[in-house]
Amino acid sequence: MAEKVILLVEDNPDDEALCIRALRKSKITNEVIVAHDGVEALDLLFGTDGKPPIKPAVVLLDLKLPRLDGVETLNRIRAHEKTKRLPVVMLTTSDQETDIVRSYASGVNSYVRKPIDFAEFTDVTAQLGMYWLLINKEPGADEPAGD
Amino acid sequence: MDAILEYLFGSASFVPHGYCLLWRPELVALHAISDLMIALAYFSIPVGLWFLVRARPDMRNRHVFLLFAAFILLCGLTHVIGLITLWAPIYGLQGLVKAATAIVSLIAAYSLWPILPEMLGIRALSGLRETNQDMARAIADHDILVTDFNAARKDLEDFANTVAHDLRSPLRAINGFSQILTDDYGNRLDARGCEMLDRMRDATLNMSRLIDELLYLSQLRQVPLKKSDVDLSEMARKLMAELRKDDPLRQVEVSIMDSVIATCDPDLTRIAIRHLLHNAWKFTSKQTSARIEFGEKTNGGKRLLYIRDNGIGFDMAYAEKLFQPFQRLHTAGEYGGSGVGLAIVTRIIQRHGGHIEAEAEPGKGTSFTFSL
Repeated sequence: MAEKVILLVEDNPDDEALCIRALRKSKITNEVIVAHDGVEALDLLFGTDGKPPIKPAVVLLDLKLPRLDGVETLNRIRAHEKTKRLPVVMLTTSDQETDIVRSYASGVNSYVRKPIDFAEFTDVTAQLGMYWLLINKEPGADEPAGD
Repeated sequence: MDAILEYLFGSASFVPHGYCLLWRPELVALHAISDLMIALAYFSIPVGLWFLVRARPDMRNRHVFLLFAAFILLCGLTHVIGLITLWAPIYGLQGLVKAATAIVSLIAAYSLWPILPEMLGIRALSGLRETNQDMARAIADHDILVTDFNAARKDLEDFANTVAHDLRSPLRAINGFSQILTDDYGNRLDARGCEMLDRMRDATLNMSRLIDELLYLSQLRQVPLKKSDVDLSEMARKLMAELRKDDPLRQVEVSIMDSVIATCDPDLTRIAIRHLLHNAWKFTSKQTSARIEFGEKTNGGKRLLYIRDNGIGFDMAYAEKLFQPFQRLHTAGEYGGSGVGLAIVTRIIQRHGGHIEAEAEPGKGTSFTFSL
């Protein structure tokens, strides 16, 4: 089975660098594909210009994005047959109640507020990576070879 | 019975009124037609009044209108009887109807005086029209104000969202990259360099807390209150236990009065009491034998809650400033905090329709008294 990849949708280069750093610090070495806005993320997920669609183990989606924002991107992901069950984690700066409600209404799998403190941020990222890459089982995923 | 009937409807001993008029046709006709016309006119007036009172249930002093209707009706009746007496001497009945009219007219006249001032106060129609125009203008002005207010509120909400998101992101970058500097390049920095990076990170965390509290303060007005009976003693005990857990080395004597129950929003009240207890905890940190009290008392029949400490207190000259955001009475270096805490407490208490006051003496302690 090919190594699981993570799709990080993040427009802020600082947050992108910090997020990748946090993943690496947590010994998560899986490939991280970065999209810088919702449109780019959908292009990667659905495949364009003859490129095959990518199948990430989890999408880490920022809420505030240029062009297509996080919730709109999530709606498109949920609307598409091939991606409607894709695990999506809203990874955002805001913890406004309305944003949380909106995200869950659109079928997000998890909502995580990025802590300011980098040590905490690393912890959160490590837990997210561990959970979605190792613990969580997707429907139709390959059965492991044996116990 | 016969005697009464005779009394009412007259007898042979009386002569009809026409007789007095010598049965002159023109005089009898003048009296008869005038009485008839007056009676008809009088009968029509109560009908009109009756409709008026029926149609306007909002009208005040309805009884006066009905009394006048009865009075005019009886007046009409006296003229009808006057008409009849031209030919039939029913003077007994005429006298009774006149007596009834007299009584009712007296009552009607009497009832008019008390309501005269009120009736005089009723504005003329032209005045009402003007008042209506004034009110329409006021309503239009009010609508503009409401629109302005809603726009301002929307701006504030957008601003809050921007603050929540865009001001926090750079903080995370400063914190994150300074941590990376420490991790990756810390061996090339001396102790002072590393300390500066630590201070940078502390500053980002302080600012993040400040942003959170400001956002919370700005949203507090819109949070709906969900009131229930809350055991504040239990709440205060739990909050004190949390404070002790965070700072287990401190020795603080805590006295919490039993079963202080209040009807309030438990979530908001917890935040307010936590801020007050946290303040008490913070400002007694330099006291050798610190003491914090929570309880209730009554003052002039009013139930008041209090949180007292024997900490550093403050100069009452600055008491006004205490409850405003960003006002601090001690340096940030000495006691920390964002300066927003008591503004949040005040707003929570105001949302409950309550009031908070502080009393203090430098070096002796502070006492917050509030109602919910």
